[in-house]
Amino acid sequence: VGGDIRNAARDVGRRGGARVIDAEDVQKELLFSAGVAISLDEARELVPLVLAQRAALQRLERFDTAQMRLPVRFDPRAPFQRT
Amino acid sequence: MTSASVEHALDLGATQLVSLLRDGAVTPMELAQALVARVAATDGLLHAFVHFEAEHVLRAAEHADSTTLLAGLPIAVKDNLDVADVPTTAGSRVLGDAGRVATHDAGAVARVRASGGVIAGKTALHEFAYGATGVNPSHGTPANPWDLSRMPGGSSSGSAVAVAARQAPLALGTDAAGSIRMPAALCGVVGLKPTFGRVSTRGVVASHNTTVDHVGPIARSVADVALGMAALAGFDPDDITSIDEPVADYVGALARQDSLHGVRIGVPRTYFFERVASDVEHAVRTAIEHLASLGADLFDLDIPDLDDLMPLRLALFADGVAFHLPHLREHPELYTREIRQRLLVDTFMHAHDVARAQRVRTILQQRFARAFIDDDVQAIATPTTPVVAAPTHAWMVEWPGAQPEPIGLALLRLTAPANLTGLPAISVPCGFTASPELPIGLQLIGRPFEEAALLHIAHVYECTTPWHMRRPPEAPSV
Repeated sequence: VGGDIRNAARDVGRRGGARVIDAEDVQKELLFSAGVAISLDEARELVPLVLAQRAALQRLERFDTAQMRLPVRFDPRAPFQRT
Repeated sequence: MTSASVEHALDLGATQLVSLLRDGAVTPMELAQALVARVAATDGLLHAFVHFEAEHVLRAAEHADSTTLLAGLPIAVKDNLDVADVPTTAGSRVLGDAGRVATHDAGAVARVRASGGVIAGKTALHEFAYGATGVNPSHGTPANPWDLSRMPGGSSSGSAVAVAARQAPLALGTDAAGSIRMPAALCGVVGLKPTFGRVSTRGVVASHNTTVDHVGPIARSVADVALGMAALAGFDPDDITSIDEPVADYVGALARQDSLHGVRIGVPRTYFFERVASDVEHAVRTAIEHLASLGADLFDLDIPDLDDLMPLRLALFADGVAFHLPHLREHPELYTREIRQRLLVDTFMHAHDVARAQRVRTILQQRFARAFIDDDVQAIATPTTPVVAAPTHAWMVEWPGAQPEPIGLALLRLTAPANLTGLPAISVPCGFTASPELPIGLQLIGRPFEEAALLHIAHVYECTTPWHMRRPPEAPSV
């Protein structure tokens, strides 16, 4: 996985859209937002994974969703009834 | 029947067995006894089951009614579906080393029982159904019966292995990103993920986003999967995700066996045939040509932007953290490293990520709907997985001219779109690699609640090809 994630992490850097995080940030953020305590070593392993996830999510930003409205519940029939 | 011939009956498919049970040629008890013996003889090698109580199976068979739809047919159940009075582990130590004992049957399990099926054991899965390989260091990895050193595919690994190895004629799986179709493809059997809302998901461990998860059948033929759907499909008023749509005659849809005249099938130009192993692409394109030779009209389809749309899966899946967070806080050590890391990363998902993903999901649904409607196609044909079963400890797939890809992500790349759109999809065997001989799956994606059309196409394909008749080396005939 390492190579793939490092490539994704570099991609984040190129796009310049994600804030840079390090292991301490990851450790603090997990404790603050999720109440989960992890070691610094484990946090270090998570850094490239978090960056890769952020890089993947940035791909969604190219779609214009500003004016979209969502249905109350997911229904696979909906786009076939409207298209 | 003699004991030898009853055991031989396990080589038959579910439909044929039901016919024998109804005719009285074999009794539910004889069949259950044969199955108990088969599992005892083979599961030390295959590890398809995590919980198998012979006594429970035999007791259920004792009361089976051979006049019902399933007539006492034994059916294995993936161990993230509750079976009353039996422990559910979801493939994880998090629910206790022995799992937690369920108080009620899952909706799908209740329908199997109501249709006269005999629940025959709980099958192994990727931890919390969170992976595509089926490799589970916590509860054991089922061995692929085509090559014991290879991964079975996941997450419904044990269900696919049990069916392929003749330990069960029919099994239930769940599918949140391809978890029925991927192991079906890698083990050379048939798996159907129904339309979202078609089969009850009540009583499935809610470790996933519940708007992408599905329950469906795995069996050795399309007819057997149709039989499974006849038992499973229907509205469940106690399941918030269930949709009240009329149930089609899935078995009746298989009446035409030799022609696809009038059937229109779409073949995507992009995404589904990119980063696909050459032997897989060759087998799937040959299968599609075969569909045309049977009378189907083929249409090239454009479903734009799939590469950029699919990361929405990451944001939707992060919803599973709601289930896992208390466990991650209290007993993180009970998770395998792979799943713990994945869940911890999911806690970094922001509200705006999820909101955008939900909106982008609508775009994905529209792209697929347009593809179906513009050319009026009944099905879209693709490979089920871009690669065949890899060695169990393989980690990456190398692609010429592209970045290496984690195998867990590669495997689900072609199946996940049907989960995000909620469309039905089936995987049928469509060939084998030359050496080693490993199965390849053809995926057919359909319109919402049009499972009968998929079953018809897949059945005609199956009736005119030999692939489903091949037998894995680790399913020795008696």
